Amino acid sequence: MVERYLAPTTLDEALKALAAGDATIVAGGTDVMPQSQAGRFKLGRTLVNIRRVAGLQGGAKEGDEIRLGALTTISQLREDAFIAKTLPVLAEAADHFASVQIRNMGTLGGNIGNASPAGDTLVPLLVLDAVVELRSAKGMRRLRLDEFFTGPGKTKRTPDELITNIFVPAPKPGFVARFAKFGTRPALDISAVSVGIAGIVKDGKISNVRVAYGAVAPTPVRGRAAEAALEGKTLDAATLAAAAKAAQGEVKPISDRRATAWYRREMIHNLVKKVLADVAHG
Amino acid sequence: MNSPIVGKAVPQVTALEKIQGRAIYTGDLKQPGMLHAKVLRGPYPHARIVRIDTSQAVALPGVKAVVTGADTPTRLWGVAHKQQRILATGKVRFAGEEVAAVAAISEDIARDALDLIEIEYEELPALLDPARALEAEAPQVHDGHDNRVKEIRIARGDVEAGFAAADLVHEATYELHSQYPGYMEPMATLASVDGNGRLTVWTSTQSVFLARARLAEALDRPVSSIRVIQAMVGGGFGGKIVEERSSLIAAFLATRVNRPVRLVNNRLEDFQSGCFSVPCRLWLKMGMTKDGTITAKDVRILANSGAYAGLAPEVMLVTAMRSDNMHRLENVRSAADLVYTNTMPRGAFRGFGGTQMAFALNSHLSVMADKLGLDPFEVHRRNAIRAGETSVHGWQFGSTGLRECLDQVQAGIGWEAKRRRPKDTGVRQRGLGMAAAMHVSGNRTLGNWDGSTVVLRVNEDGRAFIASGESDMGQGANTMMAQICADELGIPLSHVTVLPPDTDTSPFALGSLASRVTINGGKAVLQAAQQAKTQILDAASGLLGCPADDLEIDQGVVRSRTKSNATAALPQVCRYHVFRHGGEGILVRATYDPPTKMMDADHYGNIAPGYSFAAQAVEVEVDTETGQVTLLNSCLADDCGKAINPMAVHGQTNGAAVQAIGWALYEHLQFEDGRLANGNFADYTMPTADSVPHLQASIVESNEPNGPLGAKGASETAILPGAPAIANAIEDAIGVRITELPITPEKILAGLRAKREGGHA
Ligand SMILES: Cc1cc2nc3c(=O)[nH]c(=O)nc-3n(C[C@H](O)[C@H](O)[C@H](O)COP(=O)(O)OP(=O)(O)OC[C@H]3O[C@@H](n4cnc5c(N)ncnc54)[C@H](O)[C@@H]3O)c2cc1C
Repeated sequence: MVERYLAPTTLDEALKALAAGDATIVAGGTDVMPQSQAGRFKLGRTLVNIRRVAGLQGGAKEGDEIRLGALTTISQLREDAFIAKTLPVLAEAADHFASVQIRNMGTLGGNIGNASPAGDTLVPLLVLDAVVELRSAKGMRRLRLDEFFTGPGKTKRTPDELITNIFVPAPKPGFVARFAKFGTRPALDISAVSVGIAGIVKDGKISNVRVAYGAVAPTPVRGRAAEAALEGKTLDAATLAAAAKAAQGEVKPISDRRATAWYRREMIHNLVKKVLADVAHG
Repeated sequence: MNSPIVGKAVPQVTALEKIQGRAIYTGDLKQPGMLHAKVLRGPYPHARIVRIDTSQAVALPGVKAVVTGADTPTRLWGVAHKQQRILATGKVRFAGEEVAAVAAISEDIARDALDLIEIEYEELPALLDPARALEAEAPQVHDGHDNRVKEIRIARGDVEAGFAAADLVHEATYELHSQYPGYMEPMATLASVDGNGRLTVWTSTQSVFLARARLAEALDRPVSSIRVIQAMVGGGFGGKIVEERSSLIAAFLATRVNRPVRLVNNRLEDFQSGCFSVPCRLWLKMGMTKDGTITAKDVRILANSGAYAGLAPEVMLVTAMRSDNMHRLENVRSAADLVYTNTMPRGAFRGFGGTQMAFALNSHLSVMADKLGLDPFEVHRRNAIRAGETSVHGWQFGSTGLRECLDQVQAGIGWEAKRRRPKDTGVRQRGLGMAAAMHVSGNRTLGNWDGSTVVLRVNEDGRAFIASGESDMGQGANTMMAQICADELGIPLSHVTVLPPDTDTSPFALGSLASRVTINGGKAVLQAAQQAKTQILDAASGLLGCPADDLEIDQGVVRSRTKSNATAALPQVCRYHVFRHGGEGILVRATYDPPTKMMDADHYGNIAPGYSFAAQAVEVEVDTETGQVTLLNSCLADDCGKAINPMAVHGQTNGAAVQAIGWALYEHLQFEDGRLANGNFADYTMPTADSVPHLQASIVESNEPNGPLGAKGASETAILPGAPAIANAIEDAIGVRITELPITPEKILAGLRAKREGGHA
């Protein structure tokens, strides 16, 4: 049962609260609240509302990297001019994310912390080659996002660590990234499958390819076979077909309430083709 | 008739308080000393309750009562099948069944107390699949009874001869799933016992008198010791009629603690205890001649009642035979079986069993029309029943607007031109579909009375009060009654107040079900207003020295038709009605019981004073890569006899169209091990604005002779054609026929694959 509620305004206070143990981090609360109400998530003795912690908002270029604060809301991803210009794939993902109300509350850090295989910023972040910055009272470390998730709702984050920032390499000339998700209902639905593809497109050829899938495995995953089928290739019909086949072959989804394994693999095939067509268009 | 009020699109009389957030719903009510209730539900679909220990919960500070099945009256309640107690005793028959309840000084404490109730269960084999219910070794949902709730067998004419005379015989099996009513206001009740032991219950209900009867039975106390008051209702759709259980728990707790108790469902609790529509598997075989005449119709139904019977037998009867009446059929046969399962009880839902059959029938007619090279509109027209005719089951039609409905939606969607355009061949393919259906307005079924009584008072200021037990649950009943009354009395709409239904003060009524309130309640209002008007004009005649038949009321003033200076304001006349020797305030009463006939044992009769019709045409676009269906256009015509309020009718028609989209495409109850797995609006996906195309709603006024000013019911009929129209449009678009609802993207892709592979799914 919750005994304490803290709303620190500085990072140090927040990290101290986490160091004391048995604390639950609340950012937007859009996962924490419904999940704990439904009995699927047990709250710790201390609730740490991090919303007021300064310095974890918004995006900025820092050297060769773009820094995205963990408290950046999904609405900001969608509307922020800097993000729209430098990382439009995040705005694309945010546009199909939940509802306006949820987008106003939900944060990037929360989407990562929740570690759902269907989390809609995770697939774009994977193809952006994101790195997660974690801080605790003991110090700071960085983990690659594609090594961060260990299962549904599970990550390598230790309980005393806070996700503070996400870093992605600043896009190089010719860099294109696109994302598509599919849920049964056109709005306000959790992804049954999602696909993100990024690469450098030059003279009709794609290189430095990264492919990622959502909701087809216990975590969001990279699509190595599809990446191999695409690397250095001309984005023509034959390449699209080969990549789609490779994608369909490499995913091992399960059947659950949202879709059967068969449908998910079918959809990975079709969505990879669709997203590649978008990538080819730039 | 040229009325300034009836037939005008006026905002509902409840609109202002609702948009200001000042309407008082049950969950807003507070009383001194009020306690909060929470309910503990069984986690297993089927389990014996071995032991319950409530001692820890009772000991929690702030807890005032903990009750279990053993505490509840032993008298069983139920619509026709008396089989439930207020809380489960002996065993739980579905996951989510109420086993214990707590009243405490706060909702949080009540919830915490639930965690302290210890219950030991012995799990029993659960019957989850209705198809297994009638097997000899199937688990018994009700010990000592087989799992058949009801069987219906109807046969008229000669079905085999009908098939022999047909040029085309088609048969198919359809799977029709269960839908949650999805009203905005989850169930809520406040119950309180006064110093004399009388119980007052404020609740969200479609019928205060049926609620009172249910409470009296379940609490085993006299009807007259209970007062039920309807608070503002935030939607019902059938779920708040006679099968509702949480109001019983709240009232029972109030009798135990002698303090007011409020029980408000959250959304999950409402999913767990709400009333879902009756799912069924429906096999249909029809014969048709080359010109589209239906020669025979043969139906077999296996319907799932869930753990208790409730209204499901009545619902299944509607599925089994109602649609037969919209066409001129002679040879029909129905064999329908309703079975228990260890799942939540199912029952009344907008359309009352009509949607299930409308889906099968219209899917069938579309397929058969295609095979015969006919247009489905023509098939409906060729078979449509007409005013003055009697249907195969004895229903007599004073009015039918079916043909006009068909004409309007066919023109409205641009059917002819769009059907001629070449088929799309790209990723996205468009298609057109239509469907038509009928419903009752009224139903002589709850006993040999389908009447409605209205008590009308006209006060000293010339303004009117209507007391009626019929219920406004958002659909606009109060507005309809106020409009008819204002129109007849010649006063502004704002001068009519419809009092909330209250069993202590309202005349007895059945309430909002079977689309009966406009045709029967509206007629009673009209008759009461006519009587009041006669009294007013008689009094004015004395006052003005003119004969009563020379007088009329216009905008609140009584005036002579012939003498221009003979006028009296209504307040003056109404005061005069009182302040004279032997006078009294104007108080009249009228009862309208329609000239209908109950069905006999063979299901033959003329159950409703009017029958309403609807047709819908839709255009869809199917994405052949994702299987997603998008509605591009919808055109829905509802024959409501006469639109007393076109704005309210449009609201009902559009709402019905959206609810049908939800049933057809998105809403999908899911279970894991017999437990509801998606009892929330994130996972039970109702349509959002993005799923809804521009909706055209048109009104057909067929002028029902039995109805007030020609009116019949509107709203239930309009939900019937949506799902089959969508399924028909999908087949038109991509050549895939879906017979199992909901039509998920996955089924579309699977259908496309089967088509590619030559029909081998
Ligand atoms: C109606 C509805 C629709 C939704 N639709 C979508 C959708 O379309 N797509 C989608 O991806 N998600 C969706 N979600 C889920 C949710 O909104 C997102 O995952 C959101 O990004 C969570 O952010 P939050 O700030 O609200 O997280 P919280 O609920 O505050 O936290 C989520 C988890 O992360 C932890 N956490 C939060 N911040 C940090 C941090 N900085 N460091 C470490 N741990 C942290 C919390 O302890 C918790 O475990 C939906 C939710 C709802 C209720």
